Amino acid sequence: MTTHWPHAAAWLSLAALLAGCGVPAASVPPSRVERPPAPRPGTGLPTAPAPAEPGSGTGLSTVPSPSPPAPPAARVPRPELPMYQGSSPRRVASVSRTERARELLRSGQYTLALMELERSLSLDGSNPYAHYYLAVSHYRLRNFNASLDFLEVAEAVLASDRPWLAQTLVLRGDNLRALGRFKRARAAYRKALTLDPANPSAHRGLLWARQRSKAVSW
Amino acid sequence: MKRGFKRFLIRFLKIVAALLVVLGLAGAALGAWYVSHLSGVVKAKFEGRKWEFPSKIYADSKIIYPGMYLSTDEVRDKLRRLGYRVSKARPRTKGEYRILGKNAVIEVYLHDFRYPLRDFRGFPVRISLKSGTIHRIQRLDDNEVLPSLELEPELVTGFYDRVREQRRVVRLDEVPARVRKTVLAVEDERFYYHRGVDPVAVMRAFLANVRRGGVVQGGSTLTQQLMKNFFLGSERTLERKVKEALMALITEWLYTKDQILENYLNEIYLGQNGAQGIFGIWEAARFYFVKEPEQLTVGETALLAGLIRAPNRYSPYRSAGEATRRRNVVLAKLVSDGIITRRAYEHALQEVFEKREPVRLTNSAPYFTDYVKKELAEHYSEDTLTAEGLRIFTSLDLEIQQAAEKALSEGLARLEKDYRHLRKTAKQDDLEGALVVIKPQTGEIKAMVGGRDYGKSQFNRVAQAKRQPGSVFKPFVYLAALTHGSAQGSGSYDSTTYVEDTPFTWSYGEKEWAPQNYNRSYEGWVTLREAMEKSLNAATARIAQDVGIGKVREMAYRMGIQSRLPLLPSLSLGAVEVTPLEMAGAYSALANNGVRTHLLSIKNVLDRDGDALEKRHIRVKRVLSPRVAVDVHNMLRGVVERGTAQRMRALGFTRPAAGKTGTTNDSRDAWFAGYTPDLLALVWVGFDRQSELGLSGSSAALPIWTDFMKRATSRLPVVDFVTPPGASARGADPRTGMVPGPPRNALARAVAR
Repeated sequence: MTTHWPHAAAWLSLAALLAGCGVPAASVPPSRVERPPAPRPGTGLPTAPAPAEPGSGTGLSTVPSPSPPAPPAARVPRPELPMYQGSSPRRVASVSRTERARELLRSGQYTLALMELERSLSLDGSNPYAHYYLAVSHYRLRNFNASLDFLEVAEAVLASDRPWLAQTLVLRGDNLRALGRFKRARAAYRKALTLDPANPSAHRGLLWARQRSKAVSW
Repeated sequence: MKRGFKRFLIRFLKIVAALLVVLGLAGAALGAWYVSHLSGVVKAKFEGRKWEFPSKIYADSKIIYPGMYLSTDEVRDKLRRLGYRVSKARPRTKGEYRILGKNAVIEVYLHDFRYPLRDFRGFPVRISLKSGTIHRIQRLDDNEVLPSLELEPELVTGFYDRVREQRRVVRLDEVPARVRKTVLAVEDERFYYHRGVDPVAVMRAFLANVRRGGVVQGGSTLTQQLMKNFFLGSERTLERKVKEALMALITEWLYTKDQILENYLNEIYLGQNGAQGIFGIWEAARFYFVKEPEQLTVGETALLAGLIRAPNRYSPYRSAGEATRRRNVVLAKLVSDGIITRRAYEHALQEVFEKREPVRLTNSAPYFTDYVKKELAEHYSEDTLTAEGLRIFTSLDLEIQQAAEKALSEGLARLEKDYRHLRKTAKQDDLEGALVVIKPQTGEIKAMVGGRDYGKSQFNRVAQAKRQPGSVFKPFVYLAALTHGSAQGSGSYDSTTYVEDTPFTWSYGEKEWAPQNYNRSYEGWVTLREAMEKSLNAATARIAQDVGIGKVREMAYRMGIQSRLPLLPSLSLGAVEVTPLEMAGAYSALANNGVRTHLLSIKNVLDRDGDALEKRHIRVKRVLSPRVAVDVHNMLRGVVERGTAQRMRALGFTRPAAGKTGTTNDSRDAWFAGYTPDLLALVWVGFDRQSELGLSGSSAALPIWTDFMKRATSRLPVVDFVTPPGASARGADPRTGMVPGPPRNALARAVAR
């Protein structure tokens, strides 16, 4: 304690204050009581505020007007595509986490999904779906360049699976479109359609990119 | 005379009276000033930052899943480190576990844990093992079978200032009434009936002390104790006692009883765990009983309250007998005061303190935590790190870290034993080493050992030492060749392209450079693959000359080397200075089919309230075409199977692996950078003061790497490298990457003829 004080003053003050001893403290008037700020309650499930989805709802948040039709990636792309579970227990565990992340994406919890996918990848670094859905998460969080980076990996590892490869190309197109690179976006959608001619997302994306491209040139 | 004296006396008395009045007024003014001053001191404490909260560093959480290799001992060790306690019956409260039926079943009631962005609520779970692997993971509350289970991350260390205090602050309503009542019964039973100083208690203590002829009892109230802990030392002087009493009175005037009690329960010192003091009821409950206050039994609550008088003397870790005696005294007081029933008293007397060792918080990754601290220092002040109670979640894997520490220290000791010259040199310059482990697909730093003994030297050789990499640099030359081809117009390169391994002179500017092979022997015409496998200097330098040293440098930068690289021919043989960490990062692209990952040590930073301050995510970047990456990767596999690192197999590591040895020309540095499908590890061995090591990477660094990998991968399934479809050279053997058939460039065909 660094405070110095004169003895006499202390004794005098003590004598004066002791006079009030032995009285129940409840008698202290509440007006003299100051409360420290209450600590923040420790419960709840905070989630990062989800930014506007690129391509969701009206879908035009990523690109300035004029407003084109709703883009194709408003939902989790092709959730019906099955993920290959593989025979390795580690892959099974990793894919089950990817599946959980897919549910988080569906419910709009993109940051949580991203973290879950990173755990999935940490568990099994060669899980191709983790790479693909990491790209989806980044796309939803508007990190388009990061999304494209993950797609580079996903495309390489999913190259032998036509529907999945088509899906990665659709997402590539969505990212490129969001970045305003319409020509390359169209090329990605076209390539996706050559792999999977019935891919509805690729059709929609191509249509949208054409219209957008026309609108920009016009 | 008499009248004169009387008048004098009256005048004198008047003067004295006036003096007394003046003195009294002065004293009152002084007293008022002093009280106001002390009020300021008390207010500043109560309303400002009362305690310093060290930031805490956590390792990565562990995910377990059916099919994973795991022994009961590993689970037991992990649970013990996480602060779980053994239970004889089925775990009913959080933090308990039991092992059943010849170690085949483990039942755990998981702790709650606040992860970044989500609160995990603990639940009971059964982990069944079969033949050393997890057979099934099932919740015990709703019988759901789980595909995987995440165990909370271990605490690695805290960032402390001068005072090493462990404390978790709780609100008063988070402390059960039983705990509050017990503490008050023992320390200040008239707490709610005095105003800071209790004359009854003072008198009682005075009489007791007089009767016993010494100090046997104190009369301090709980408020006085709080003042002593907050502001005053433990010196036994009248001056201190008066000041303590004054401050107690002021505090009671300014604050409610509940506020004072809450502060007391958070402030009180309750023991010592190594260098760290245990403060507050919550931290003490956790330290002594691995429980939260609401989980404490009557006996445990009694001991906790009893500990306040002399925490280290009555600690159950020190003496179960002393602790039990003290607990019984408190229990007797509780029953006599009517706080507990006689039945509860009898029951509590039967409680036995299990013999346990405290979980010591020893920083098992000091170089890593230093590295993390340095990274954090870019965004957070020292004061924030030591006092604001941040929670920092990292990528560290403590089991891999342990394996790395052991492999390095034992490996260096083995080298000193096997090579006498290293011992002689060690008198002036200690043999040192560094080992860093990365998960190549995510860039997470899983372990970091920056030296042999952190106690002796805190210099982190992984992140701070700039050393010549020697041949570990060579893959960048081959990558440049495969990516860009010849700058002289002689075509493209692949792994079967022939190059000449003969002495030559490289003229640049006005200078000349003549690269020589390690043992001065030359192979003549060799393929790129052979040149890499045998680490041939002359052949590599010729490739660099053909490709252009600028392209080699550009490739090294592209792969993640950040140190400044001079544009000199000797760059091709690694005659530059880089840190082991950047070299390991650069190799991650080779282990990951051409995708470079950014190194990641800090994943999340949360403030004391659990709000995220920072999130760092995995970042990837394709820096090589898959085909080029796979070609060089296959060459590095050849290094292990047939080349300079083939000793790895003789040392007993049989899993798929790739890597490159490195030895500098002056034999001052020995390296091995290698990877399996799951982990990338880099080992450096040398002397801090650049004394001559006289050993190659294969002799000095490779055995340490092999020992580490044997330990770190022993519980992982054997998996082979995954080559992306279409990335292999056409017609290449998928196992070896070798292309059958005649050599593919014109020069090679000519040689073959």
